[in-house]
Amino acid sequence: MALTARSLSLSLGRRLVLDAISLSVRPGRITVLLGPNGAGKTSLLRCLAGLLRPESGAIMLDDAPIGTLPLRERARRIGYLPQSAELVWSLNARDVIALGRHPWRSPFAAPSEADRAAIADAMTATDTERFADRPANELSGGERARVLLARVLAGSPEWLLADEPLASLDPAHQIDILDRFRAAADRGCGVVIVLHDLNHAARIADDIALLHGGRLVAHGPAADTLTPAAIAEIFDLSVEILPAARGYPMQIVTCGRRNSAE
Amino acid sequence: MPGITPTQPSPIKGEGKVNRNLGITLSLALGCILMFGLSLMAGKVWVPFSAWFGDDTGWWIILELRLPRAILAAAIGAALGLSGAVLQGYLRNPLADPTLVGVASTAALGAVGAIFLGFAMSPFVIFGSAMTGAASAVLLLAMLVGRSGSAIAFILAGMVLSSLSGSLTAFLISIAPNPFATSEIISWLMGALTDRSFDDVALALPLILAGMALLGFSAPALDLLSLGEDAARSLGLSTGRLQAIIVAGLGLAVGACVAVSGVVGFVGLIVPHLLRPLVGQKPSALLFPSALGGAVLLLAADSLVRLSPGAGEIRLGIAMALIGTPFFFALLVNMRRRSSWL
Repeated sequence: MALTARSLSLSLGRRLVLDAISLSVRPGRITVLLGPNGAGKTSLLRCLAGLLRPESGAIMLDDAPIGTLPLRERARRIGYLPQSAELVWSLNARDVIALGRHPWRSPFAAPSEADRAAIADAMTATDTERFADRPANELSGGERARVLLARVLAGSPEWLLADEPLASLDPAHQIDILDRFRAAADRGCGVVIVLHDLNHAARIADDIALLHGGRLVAHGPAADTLTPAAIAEIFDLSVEILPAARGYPMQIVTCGRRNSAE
Repeated sequence: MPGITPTQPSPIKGEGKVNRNLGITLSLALGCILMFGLSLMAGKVWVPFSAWFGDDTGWWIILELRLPRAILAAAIGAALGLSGAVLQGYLRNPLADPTLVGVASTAALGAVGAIFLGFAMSPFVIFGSAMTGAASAVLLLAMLVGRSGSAIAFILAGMVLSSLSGSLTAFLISIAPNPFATSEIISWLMGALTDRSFDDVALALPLILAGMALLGFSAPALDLLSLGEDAARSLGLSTGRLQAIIVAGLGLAVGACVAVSGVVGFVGLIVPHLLRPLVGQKPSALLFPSALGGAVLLLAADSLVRLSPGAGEIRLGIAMALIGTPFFFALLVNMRRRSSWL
């Protein structure tokens, strides 16, 4: 089983945002997409989720092009957590989480026992029962992020794609949410996350995909990809790599812009 | 299956909210029945309940004049209330209204065209012409928006249609062949249910009900859109198919409403707003109460316009605008208070 991008190219307007990207992610592993703003991370994630159609190349889910899958089957297999944490209407947290079961339900049927069990388990996994009956837009940023993650987990997806799930969260909640992704991967989910924090990426990732200017620059374990040279080239940053400590396989200390540090 | 594996069902929670919503729905249904009864009794001649089943001639007033009018008021109110709730959910905009997407104004243009051509005394021709206008609006919307399913393209296309049909309507009024035609056109545009018969009910009701059924079918998708378009699509929503269902539903329901009564505004804007604090913001939970609330509001408004002093009666469209404009103003002030505009 694999979710694979084959020679993926995509333009938005006249700008080439993805340039012949080939990448394969596997179940039970966390792949982090890293790169500066405009590198093509979100576009790649949306392509992997089947939400953007590439100009050339293909996204394969196992051996089938993702575009050939019925929408419901794709929704059952791939859970997508978009960047925005705002809800248009302030539904109760429980109702938001229950929407994750939509691909498994008949449109007008009451939730089945399996639906209720999946919702309950997702709430337990994200510790959201306490505020399940509160309007989601009245929750704190950390609570709402957990509710939206629970919404995706309630769908029992094989693949979990998340776009900057730590944005606007305080450090404690960032660690908390990352641990939930690790737990999902440990249960067999293939996880792809877009992140900006290099240390979080090093902590959580089994593999890191470095993107720059729409191209895949490097793909592999953190120790091989997050080198000072690669970080300087891609992020224009001067960094120092310190040894592993307290759950972090490496510590990346930012020393400033590459040129100013020189 | 990887990810979260279901283990054991959770106890049912949130039943209080369900019971409250059920209570509100039942209250609205009761209000609808009461307003329907009031609509049968109220008018220049008050026909008491006791006259309904006797030999009193009042019975004929009810059967021939007031019953079809009450049925149409209930159906039009329900269709407009439901359309407003669906559009607000679909466009994720609390200011959306069925008149926004151009179906109503294009249907009105069709009816005005028929009156302009001398068919003022032919309700069937006016109805058919208005429905042709509504169908044209649906086709033009489909052509302008394409298969993208984009809500922004939908709003822009609706505004273009509204603007174009409004201009053409004004043009027809300006070149009307005689003062009678001008008067008929303006009077028709004001919206009314005066002198409607069971023939009108037979024409409009099936189309209104078919449109409402299509709109009701969109309920689960509207809930998904609360998460944003990307998340909704990732959960299996086809935005293009949803848009087609909504446009077709609006074409049938709003088109038939305009064809039989003229333009009656504000119901679709006001009713979902009034009910949202009571039933919550979940779009699907708002649809059925909005239909009932729309029926209650229009039955009440149509009863009141008949009780207005003088020989004639205030046009229903004018009455709704008089009620709706201050409401809209209060809504804007309230939104401004809650936001940081100032």
